[in-house]
Amino acid sequence: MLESTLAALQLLFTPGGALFLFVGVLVGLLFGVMPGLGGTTAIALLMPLTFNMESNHAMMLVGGIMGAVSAGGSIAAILLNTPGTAPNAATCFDGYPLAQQGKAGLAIGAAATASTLGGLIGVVFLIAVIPVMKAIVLLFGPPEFFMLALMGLSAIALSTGGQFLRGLISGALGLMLSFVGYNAVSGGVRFTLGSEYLWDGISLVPALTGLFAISEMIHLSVSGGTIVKEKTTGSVTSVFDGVAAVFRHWKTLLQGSAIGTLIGAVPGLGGTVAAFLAYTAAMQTSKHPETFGKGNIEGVIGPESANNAKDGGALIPTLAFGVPGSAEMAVFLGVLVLHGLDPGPMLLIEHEGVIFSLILALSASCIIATLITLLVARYLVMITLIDVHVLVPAVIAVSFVGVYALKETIGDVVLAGVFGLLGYLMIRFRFPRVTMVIALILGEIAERSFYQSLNMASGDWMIFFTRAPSLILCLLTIGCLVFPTIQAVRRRPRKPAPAE
Amino acid sequence: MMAAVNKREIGAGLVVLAIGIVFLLWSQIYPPRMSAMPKLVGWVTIVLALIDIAAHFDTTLGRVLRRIAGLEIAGLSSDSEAAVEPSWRRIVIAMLWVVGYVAAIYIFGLLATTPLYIFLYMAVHGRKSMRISALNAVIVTIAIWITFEYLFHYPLYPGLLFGGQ
Repeated sequence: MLESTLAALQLLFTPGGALFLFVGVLVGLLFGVMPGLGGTTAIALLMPLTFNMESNHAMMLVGGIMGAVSAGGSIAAILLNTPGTAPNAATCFDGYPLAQQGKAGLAIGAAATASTLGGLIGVVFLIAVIPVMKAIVLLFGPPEFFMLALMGLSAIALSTGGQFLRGLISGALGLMLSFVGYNAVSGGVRFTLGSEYLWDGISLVPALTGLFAISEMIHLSVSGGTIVKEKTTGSVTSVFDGVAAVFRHWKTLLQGSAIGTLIGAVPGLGGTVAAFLAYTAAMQTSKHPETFGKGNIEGVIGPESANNAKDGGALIPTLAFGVPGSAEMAVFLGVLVLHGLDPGPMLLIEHEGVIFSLILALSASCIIATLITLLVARYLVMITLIDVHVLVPAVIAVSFVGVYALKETIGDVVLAGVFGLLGYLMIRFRFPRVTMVIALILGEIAERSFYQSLNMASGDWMIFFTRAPSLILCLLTIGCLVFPTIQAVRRRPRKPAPAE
Repeated sequence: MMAAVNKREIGAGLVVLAIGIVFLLWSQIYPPRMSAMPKLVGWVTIVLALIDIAAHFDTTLGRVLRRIAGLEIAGLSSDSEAAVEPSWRRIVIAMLWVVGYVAAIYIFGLLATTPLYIFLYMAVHGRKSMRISALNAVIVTIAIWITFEYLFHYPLYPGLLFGGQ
């Protein structure tokens, strides 16, 4: 292992290795910033170009992209409330309010640092669990997937920023949307209104772009002025205040990184689920949960650390079993196969050097992407000072083009537009958008895993309570549901409510 | 007599109630295995909507529900977004710009529509000068074309009139 690490380190300092890593970081940052694109698109786009490269160089390029996409996505999420990639959506909730308060530098500094440290923690975890990978991944079967999804859905109650009932309603609406399309359990199609486009269900990227980017642009278009309503501080000092905030909230960082790594390692869940769970966990453990959604720096640190840590975790099933943890990993699997590297337990024995090149590239790209982000942050915050009537049409245009580019389907553009209008109405009537997104992501997983579990146990419900991991997740779910209710009942108004 | 706290908020609850009922009725047409979860969600939505509506009436039950549901914390009357109440005319106009742009993309394509949309939005809605509007429209369109079509070979949607599907 040490020999392979040293060889990978040597490669990093050769002109070829360093160049491919740097190109990967720049591409990753660019694709991260552009709404609707992201790591999957970037790797898919560059995959054919790696064909004639040495495997080690290809790993440098791909590792560079993976590590940098998250940092790029957080910039757009904080400055424009437009998640560059789907997992960055959770960063919007507190990153954007901070930008509105003139603290964009603080948020970017914290996001970049949390992202780097989260990525490094994920990589350390990956190296540590390589010997016991198989046992960990095999712990999760359909009952655990169901309980995990149920826990995510019940976490809705915690992620509503005080709007408990309306959060649950948004969650229910999100579940309704998650039922649209082909149903893997029965093989039928539901709620498609006769549209073939909806057979694949509600596409996540157009839905997220609409709910966050388009709706926010409509909101700005109505309100006018600039994004920042107060004096902006994009100074070097405020950026480094963000760096310091991450170390001050080290528990949130570790918690987010642990969630990111674990969720990343579970095939089929991915970075978006990890980021949202990290956000709700940060809120649950915060001393000031009431300030979440209004610009709490912990709401940036939690999801950003999870977002980058998930890459280390997602590599575990990808490398060990050839089971991709996410769409990005599925494309990465293609790169491995293209280079004659068959994923599976033998990969680490036969091509240890290549794997360590990837791990090292992933670590180095996290650091380089953060340094670039920190250096340009003070200039990037100027975006928040631009007149919204200049910004709005440009962001809406780029959002629609990005959404179309993903699958080259005009239906995605229409869907983003519809979700944009829905998102704005949700803003106006104070229905939290975050809960709808969590339900939209987890609804399909919950339903599928539920029926798979019952099939496994010949209809016996006890399967959810007789397996230790499932039982632990079940208890955590009950805790998530009971906690806010107890909190609300115990909360006594200090004075009689005035006549409204 | 029961006094409503906020008619607009009750209206929102009624819309959710209608969605829940329609969804529940819609679920009935599918076989049991396909409709079990949707029916459950439909019923849950209806119950939640009824609680939301009841919580917005100034009764003892309403006050208790508001406290449990967290509606007082949400600050129905003091929320920052609610404090700035734009007219529905402005809201509808802002939404129509998006609807119009999507419809134009569908018919005329991304490349033909984007510069026109940016120019018209800035000049008409944003009341910017013709020169600034035209400059921004050209810069953004060129940046989109270079990034997506030229560098990464993503074809931009040509529009129904020009062969799009």
